[in-house]
Amino acid sequence: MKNIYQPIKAEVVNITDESSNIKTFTLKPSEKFSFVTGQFIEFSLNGIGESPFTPSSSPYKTETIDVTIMRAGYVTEKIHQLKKGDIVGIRGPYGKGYPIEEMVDKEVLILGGGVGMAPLRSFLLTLVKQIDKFKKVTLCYGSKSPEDIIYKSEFEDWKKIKKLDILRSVDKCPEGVWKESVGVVTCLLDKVKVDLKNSVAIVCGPPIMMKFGTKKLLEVGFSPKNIYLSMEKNMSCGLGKCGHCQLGPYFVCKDGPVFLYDKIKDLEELWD
Amino acid sequence: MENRYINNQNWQNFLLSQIGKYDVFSLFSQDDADYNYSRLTTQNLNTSLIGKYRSTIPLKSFFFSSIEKIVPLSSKKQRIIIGVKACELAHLQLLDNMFLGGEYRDPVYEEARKNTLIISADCTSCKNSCFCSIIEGLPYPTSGFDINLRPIQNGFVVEILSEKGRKLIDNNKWLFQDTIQNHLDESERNRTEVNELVLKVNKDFKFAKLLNEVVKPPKADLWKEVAKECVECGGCRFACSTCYCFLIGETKNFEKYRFWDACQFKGYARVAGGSNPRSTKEKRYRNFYSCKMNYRKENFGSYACTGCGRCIEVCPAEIDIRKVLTRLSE
Ligand SMILES: Cc1cc2nc3c(=O)[nH]c(=O)nc-3n(C[C@H](O)[C@H](O)[C@H](O)COP(=O)(O)OP(=O)(O)OC[C@H]3O[C@@H](n4cnc5c(N)ncnc54)[C@H](O)[C@@H]3O)c2cc1C
Ligand code: SF4
Ligand code: SF4
Ligand code: FES
Repeated sequence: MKNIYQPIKAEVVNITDESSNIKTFTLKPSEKFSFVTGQFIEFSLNGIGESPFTPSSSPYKTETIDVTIMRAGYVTEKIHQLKKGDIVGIRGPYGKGYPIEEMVDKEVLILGGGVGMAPLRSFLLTLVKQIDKFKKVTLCYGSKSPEDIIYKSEFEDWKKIKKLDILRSVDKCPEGVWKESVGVVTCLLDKVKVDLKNSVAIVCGPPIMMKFGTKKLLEVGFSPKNIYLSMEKNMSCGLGKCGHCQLGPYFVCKDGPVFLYDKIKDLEELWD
Repeated sequence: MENRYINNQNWQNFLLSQIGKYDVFSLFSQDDADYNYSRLTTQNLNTSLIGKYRSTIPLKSFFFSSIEKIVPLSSKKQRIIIGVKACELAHLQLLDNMFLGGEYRDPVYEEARKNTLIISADCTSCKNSCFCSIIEGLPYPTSGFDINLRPIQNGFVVEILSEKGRKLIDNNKWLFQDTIQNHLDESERNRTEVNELVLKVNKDFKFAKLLNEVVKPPKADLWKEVAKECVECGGCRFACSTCYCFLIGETKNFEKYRFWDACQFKGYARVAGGSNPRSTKEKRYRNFYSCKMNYRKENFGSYACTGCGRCIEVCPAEIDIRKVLTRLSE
């Protein structure tokens, strides 16, 4: 019988420091492993525990996968101590990813904050690979300070891509260091021009940013039917059995993590 | 449904012949009023019982134990569980939905289920906490068993539902006889009597027809008051066979275990950074009613409460789900 809880082994082949508390780990799975952008994996550390993370690499890259992880507690602290060559476990991919087909011939507005840029990098790389299929892609990304920006060097390459606009903001920074916007990420939405009738918005970031980001998108005129959110809940099994990720009648691990806002907007617990 | 008759003496012989072939679990009297499952042996055979009503320990323990290894898998021995009651068969149906439904089948649960033959029995009485008959149930099994026993004087009417059950009976043909109409009439009378008893015990409780609707409005004050006495021991959730929540833990060599967990515990839904979607006792308490009456009804078509009353008996704060459902229904 197939054991759904059995991870496959993966070797840590590269580690990139992204910021003071975020690292990207490049893993080489011992067996074929593929995913749809927006799906997540359970990452297990032998004898320590498991945690869910969304691959941040392009799904078109199949030899290795990247996961970008913020140090936030017990398991992530230990993950940050990993070294090249260490063996970890992964299982998945789980959940529903971004519905790319729904976005064809539309403008795509991406709103991201902090480590929420991890899944969005994978998503962005997916769009970029087939950029002609979309009217326009706009990335609005906010971080605490210029040092907290992740994928620093990659932004330089992304800026050169046609049909892709990038706007960035930092919450605060000393005078003169930062030439782009200052303020919470939602302020960038005042600067972008979108064709509301033909746009979708994708939001991923810390809970507070998701809440205010969604509010702002609605204010600007987005329909709840055109906003996708990546919900974060406590997870254990990742595949719809253990109950931990319950959000109203849904399980975020299997019915999400990407949800159409319209589907969940009336849930009482939504922003709790 | 096909049926047979077996007298008490032959029933004992039947049980004896199964010991060794299967791990057989039967009910035994725990103290004056309660029953519990134990392994049947040649020594304790003569004290084994069918039980007037359900056991104290929830049936889920057989299929989803309080702590069990999930990686790597191990195989389980063939077993027979005897004396399972109607409310527990309904529990099992609800667990099947969770563990075997959807995209993934849980291999640990599936293995345990596959290797178990269930011999259920009609209730011949009820506890003060029993309320199956007022929450879409009945005190006798109608589905979900392999074999069902309907106790009558000096023996049982034996109902055969599954192929597995039929094989077991066929292998021991000589112990069984044809049923006669008198047996069935007697058994029907018992069923009616016990159902009336359950209704009588619960005459003070009035539930709304649609419990899924009555749990929807926020009613913050009501939940605050109900949860006030709750000491968050999680006993009610652990005693409940429709509660399936678990947490996975790791040991060496990528071995994994799972433990029962419960939405009543404060840390259950906490995420990194410390934010907690169900930070208060009343939110957690309400969630369990929403899960049982509303979400599970929406996802699987039935309430995840079968009226077994275990949560009522186990609660040190004496919170009675029937009182809460009655208040919600007002
Ligand atoms: C679908 C999904 C995708 C995610 N993707 C990323 C990502 O790409 N990068 C990233 O840095 N973070 C991501 N997270 C958040 C990440 O899973 C948590 O930061 C991590 O689980 C925290 O674990 P910890 O043991 O270090 O924290 P602690 O606070 O010490 O956690 C203790 C326990 O609580 C549970 N827990 C706490 N927070 C979470 C949580 N948010 N989700 C699930 N379980 C939790 C864990 O089971 C853990 O055992 C994602 C979360 C989800 C649900
Ligand atoms: S709740 Fe009903 S089925 Fe369960 S033991 Fe009590 S009387 Fe029997
Ligand atoms: S909620 Fe209580 S009465 Fe209902 S099935 Fe669970 S333990 Fe039994
Ligand atoms: S994480 Fe276990 S059900 Fe979603």
